[in-house]
Amino acid sequence: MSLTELRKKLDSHEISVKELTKEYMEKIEKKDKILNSFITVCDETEKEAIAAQDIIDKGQSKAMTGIPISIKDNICTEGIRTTCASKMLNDFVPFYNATVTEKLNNEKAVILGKTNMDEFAMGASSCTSYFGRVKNPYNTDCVPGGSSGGAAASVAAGLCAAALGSDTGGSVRQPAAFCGVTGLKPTYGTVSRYGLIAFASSLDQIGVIANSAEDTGYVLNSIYGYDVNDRTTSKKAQGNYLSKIGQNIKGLKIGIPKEFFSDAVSDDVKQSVMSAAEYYKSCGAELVESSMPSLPYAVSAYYLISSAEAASNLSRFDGIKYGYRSSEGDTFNELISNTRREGFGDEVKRRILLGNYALSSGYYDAYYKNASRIRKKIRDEYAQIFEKCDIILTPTAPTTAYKAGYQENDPVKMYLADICTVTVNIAGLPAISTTCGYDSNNMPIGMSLVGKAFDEALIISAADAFEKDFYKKEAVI
Amino acid sequence: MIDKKLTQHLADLSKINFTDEELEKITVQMGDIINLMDKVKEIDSNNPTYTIDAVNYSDLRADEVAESSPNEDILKNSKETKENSFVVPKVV
Amino acid sequence: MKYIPVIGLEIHAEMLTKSKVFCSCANEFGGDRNDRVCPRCSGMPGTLPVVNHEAVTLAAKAGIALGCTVNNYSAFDRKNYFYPDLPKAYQITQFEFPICTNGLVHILNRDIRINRIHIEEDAGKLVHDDYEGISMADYNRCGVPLIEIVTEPDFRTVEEVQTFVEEIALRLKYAEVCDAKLEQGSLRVDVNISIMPYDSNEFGTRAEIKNLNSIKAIGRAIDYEIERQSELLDKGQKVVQETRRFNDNHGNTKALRSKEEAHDYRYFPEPDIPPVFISDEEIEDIKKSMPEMPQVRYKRYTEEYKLPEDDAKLIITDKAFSDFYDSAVSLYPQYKEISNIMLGEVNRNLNDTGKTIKDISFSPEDITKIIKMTDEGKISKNAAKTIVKIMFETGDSPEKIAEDNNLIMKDNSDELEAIAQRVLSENESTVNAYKNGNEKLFGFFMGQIMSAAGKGANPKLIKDILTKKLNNN
Ligand SMILES: [Zn+2]
Repeated sequence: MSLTELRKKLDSHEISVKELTKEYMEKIEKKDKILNSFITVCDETEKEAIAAQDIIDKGQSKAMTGIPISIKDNICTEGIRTTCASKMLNDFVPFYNATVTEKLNNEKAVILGKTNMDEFAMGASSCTSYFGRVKNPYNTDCVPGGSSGGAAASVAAGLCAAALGSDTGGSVRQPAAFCGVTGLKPTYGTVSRYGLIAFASSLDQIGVIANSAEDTGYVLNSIYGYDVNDRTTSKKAQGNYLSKIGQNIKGLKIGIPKEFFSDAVSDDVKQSVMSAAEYYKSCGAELVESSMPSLPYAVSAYYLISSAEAASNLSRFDGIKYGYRSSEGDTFNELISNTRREGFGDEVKRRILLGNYALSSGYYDAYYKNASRIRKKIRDEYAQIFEKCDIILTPTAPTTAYKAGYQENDPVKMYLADICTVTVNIAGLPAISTTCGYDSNNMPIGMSLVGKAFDEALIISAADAFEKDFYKKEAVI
Repeated sequence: MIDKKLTQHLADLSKINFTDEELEKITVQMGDIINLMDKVKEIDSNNPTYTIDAVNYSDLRADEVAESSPNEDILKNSKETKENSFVVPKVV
Repeated sequence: MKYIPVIGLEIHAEMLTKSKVFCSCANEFGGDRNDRVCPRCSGMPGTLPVVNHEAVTLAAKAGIALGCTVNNYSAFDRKNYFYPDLPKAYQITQFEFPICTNGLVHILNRDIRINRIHIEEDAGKLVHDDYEGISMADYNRCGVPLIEIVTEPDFRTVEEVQTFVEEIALRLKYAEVCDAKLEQGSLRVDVNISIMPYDSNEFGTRAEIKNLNSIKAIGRAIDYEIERQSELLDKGQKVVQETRRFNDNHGNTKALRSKEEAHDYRYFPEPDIPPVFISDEEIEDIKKSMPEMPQVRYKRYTEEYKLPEDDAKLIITDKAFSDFYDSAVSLYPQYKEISNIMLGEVNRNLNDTGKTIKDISFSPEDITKIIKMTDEGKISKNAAKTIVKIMFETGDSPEKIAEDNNLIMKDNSDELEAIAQRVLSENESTVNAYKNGNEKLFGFFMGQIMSAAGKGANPKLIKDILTKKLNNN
């Protein structure tokens, strides 16, 4: 059932919010012991459900009223602990809301809980969480992807109607692909970052994971918009993200940049994405061969920029104002250095060191500045591709979900696996990942549609067209 | 090339303590990571760098005062406070 | 002295905005610890800075006041370092693209170049508890908007530095950017100083001196530092590049233990704040909104109004005082007379009553009325002074005060004419001497008539009568 249909059923009193919420809470109770997709399950959902029902009964419901959702645990929720899956923020309870939380509260959505993730959103496996790894609902031995692995797993396993995640280099799209659901990363500046605990400020964007492209657009309609609290939001974000649903694919020009189909991408994935391309062609779309010559530089540029910003953004975690505080340290320096040693996990530490390396004197020009040059180049190359086409089709990840423990200890291998997603963040563009097939082990394969800036409506409609003719396999959990 | 001395310097800048053993391990990892990062050095430095679009002066926040947060909210997540303040070991 | 000092300044000024630079907390002084703090200025996770329009306006005004170019494009950067008074562990500042550059300030026949003016946020305050061995962090001052004014190393003497700081303080006050109180820390001066041998062109190693909270302290610290560095060089030793703190009680400077082993601030563009674009028209509008600067007024007073330099200097010390003077002379352009009464009687009464020009109840027009009455011979100069004093007390109009206190001089022309006639008759030989060309004798006749006429006689009237009589006869 789509969220649009659910809305109708709630408004016509066919379904009560209380019943719906109870159903989801029971599923969480039952399934999340295995999946570990939630860090915190809210204990006041019944109260929230009643409040939402009240609004519906008065005939004042809004799009999200009474819809049970999950929120990634790096998005601040007033009075509900927000951990970033880190020991550092294990007991941090914000006294303020993120703008998206505020918007959902205003519409009286029912927040079921806060989802698990890679620590501080740094990772692509949801294995670096202080609260333990998240399991893939299609195969619990496998990772759900990351960093919004909990969000994707919670949707795939039916533990919530939709989920908010965040995407810095693929953290919404890749777990959506691994978990066989749909993930939308909006254009940078579409959704306010106020209250999203920053990883890399110039790349971070809150996104939606849901059961369909239509549902992601449905939720985006409620959370987008220029925000006086985040001056990197744009007035160009205009909403109406479902307005192009049902639009004819005929004549749509789809760019296929050849560099995204290199040897780094598995044959299963390539074949599946190419058959999706053929599907579009059969609907009357035009496939346009295109190229992004700078793709081989993208991962390095992405890691330098994101780590530099992260090193600075995470400097505030020192144990003094909030969060974990070491019991050791007689001087300020000793105290905070011990706090950060004990509070951060290995991957976070690596990124901080890398970021400070890229920024430190003597290395800044060679690393940070060159990365910034590549960033500009990639943006320009996207602009060139978009001169000849309307959307771009790429794989979402080079492989399907892999076994946990497979590459967590090989950072370089992990980083390289981001090749398909990072350029979208580097260029600030919108992209949606949806399932386009399954590998021989029945693990989902994701494809991504990238749009022009603020043209979410088009990629949502194109993904929706595909989904309507695609037979989806259910998760085993 | 990255060596233990450089990693130690980065750890100092980052304010993260490492044991000697950890430092050796992370030095090796950082070596591999930085090898990957070295790819960016191939770009021609005549290429322009990326800059964020500017906002207009007229669109900046109006100079109006809003209420600050209650002191207890500001301090409530801190492990050590005194006299409405955050506490650190004495500096200077 | 065989060395030339080479001095540059870094001046921080707190800007007079209502709210802080990146959040809406009040920009005020005092209060309880951490009670003007919000999630943003206390560095809570997920919060973002939002630039205050007025902070940019005031920084641009400062630039205009100091002859800088206001740049159309300016951008913010992060300066990263860990210190307990800096909750985000980075300070938002402007590194690569400051709002203002290339200024010039003329003092004491020298041009001092301003390298740049940039906007940044202030840090919090630490209160130390020696007994407990702790420091307590108060973030009330976090996010107070500052400008940093950086000069080129163009100073060679203490006097130049002191004059410059006074000049800057005055201009910032005129522009209403900053109240510029060194003692209260709303203006903070750091001095970079090195010395070089007379025959050298190469600057020596510099030391940076902090904690200078008066004009006098600036002078003492520089003198001490010149001597210290000279002694080092004399002994063949080297000056170390370091930050030193001036101790006002001991009159010396001591090296500060550095905040961090190595200063590597890892500046990079602040990704949370888009750069600011300000158009030429907007800069022009800001310029137009500013009052005439003190140095321009000084020029007008000395060159157009022909006031003595000392008078001009005194008038511009306080903008409200200068505004008052300007209003008065615009009504009655007796520049020197109005200057005299304001710097004399008005100032004396201000000092005696502890008031400032803003507190007084009379208007510039009242002052011009007094001058007019004097010029028309209605009151004496002494009476003018008395009227000012009474205006301070009662706030009555000058006319009323003159009436009430019998300060209007009598119009007794007939009587005076008789006295004049008598004096001239009694001194016939002197009258002849006058007529033969000894014009100095005019004063003699004036004196004789005045003393005969007694108190309250109108000198102007006597002068007229005398002139008439001497010329007619
Ligand atoms: Zn604040």
